[in-house]
Amino acid sequence: MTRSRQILRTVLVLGVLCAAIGAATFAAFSGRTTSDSNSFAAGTVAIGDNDAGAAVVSLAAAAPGTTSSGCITVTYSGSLDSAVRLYGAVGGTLGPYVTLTVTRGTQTTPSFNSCAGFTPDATNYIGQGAGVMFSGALATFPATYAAGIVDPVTATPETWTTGEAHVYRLDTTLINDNNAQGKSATAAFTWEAQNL
Amino acid sequence: MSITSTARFAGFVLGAALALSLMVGAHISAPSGQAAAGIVVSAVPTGELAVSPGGSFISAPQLIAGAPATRGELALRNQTGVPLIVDLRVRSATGDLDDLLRVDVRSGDRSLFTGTLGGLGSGIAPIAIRPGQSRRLRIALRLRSADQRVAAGRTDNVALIFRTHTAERPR
Repeated sequence: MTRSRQILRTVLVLGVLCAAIGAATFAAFSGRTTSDSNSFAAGTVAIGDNDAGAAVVSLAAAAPGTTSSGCITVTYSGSLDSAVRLYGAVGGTLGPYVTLTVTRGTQTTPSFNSCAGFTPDATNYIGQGAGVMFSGALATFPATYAAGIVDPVTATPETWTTGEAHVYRLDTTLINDNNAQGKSATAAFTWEAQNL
Repeated sequence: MSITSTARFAGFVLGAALALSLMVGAHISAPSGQAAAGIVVSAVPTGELAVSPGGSFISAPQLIAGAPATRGELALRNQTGVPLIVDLRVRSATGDLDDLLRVDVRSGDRSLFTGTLGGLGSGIAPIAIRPGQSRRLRIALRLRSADQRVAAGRTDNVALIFRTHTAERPR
């Protein structure tokens, strides 16, 4: 028998004796305190948007200079504080000929994909104007979380908390370049939250 | 019987009555000396559904059995471009009041759920919300009179989690 088992058994015997003595001595009174309902639960990381599976922007049979804009609301519903990054998957060959600007802001009553009442964040995150987080060719949009745009682009990533929501306006324009003729592209944008 | 004896007897009766009333009074007031139950209810928005007010909308640290129901109200707004069917679940921190707290959920004149807090885990009758439109949910909580002693000192923090899916045909 190991020493630790011996000690344990002694404690148990003492415990039984003490309990019996206590019951005999204090039979007329009782008092009890209980630490029950101890619970253990993991937190959650959950983020969603209001697109219901629809595209936020679309360029169809576009001529040079054609634009498409749309707004999407992203809401954090997890219980753990998180940082969010934006990245995307761009397919096709038109990506180099489409400019994309992503601007973060607010909207009083969001309704996908309307930008009515959109107000950009006041902060000039990347020197491209108020609220702008990305401005460049669609083909250069980061493709992974590791390379993703930290939301917002400041020295310290914003901490997203339960119920927090931000609106993102996406502006796309087909540039005037003959090489764009007949080409097409697709893009899926992802906002990913990871707990801090 | 002499006047002195009568006075003594009357004094005894009065004293006994006073002692009895004190004992009864103490017995009746004992439950109110117990710790009350408490609950905080919050609502968590989703990407598709804006919820107002956000965060906790019911805070009842002193739930008393048999007292009028504690009430809260929420506005749910469909911020997608399609009709949504909305359901809700609860996420309870302790589950201590699951069997004790009675919950009533209504939207307008329609009852969406009546039962225990634990029963709300199975969801409510779903509601349809058109794009850009809002629906109000009214939630009432109460402890049954018989449950005061059991519920005393129990607390919970409950989050309402909304689930949505697109409706094929708006109602």
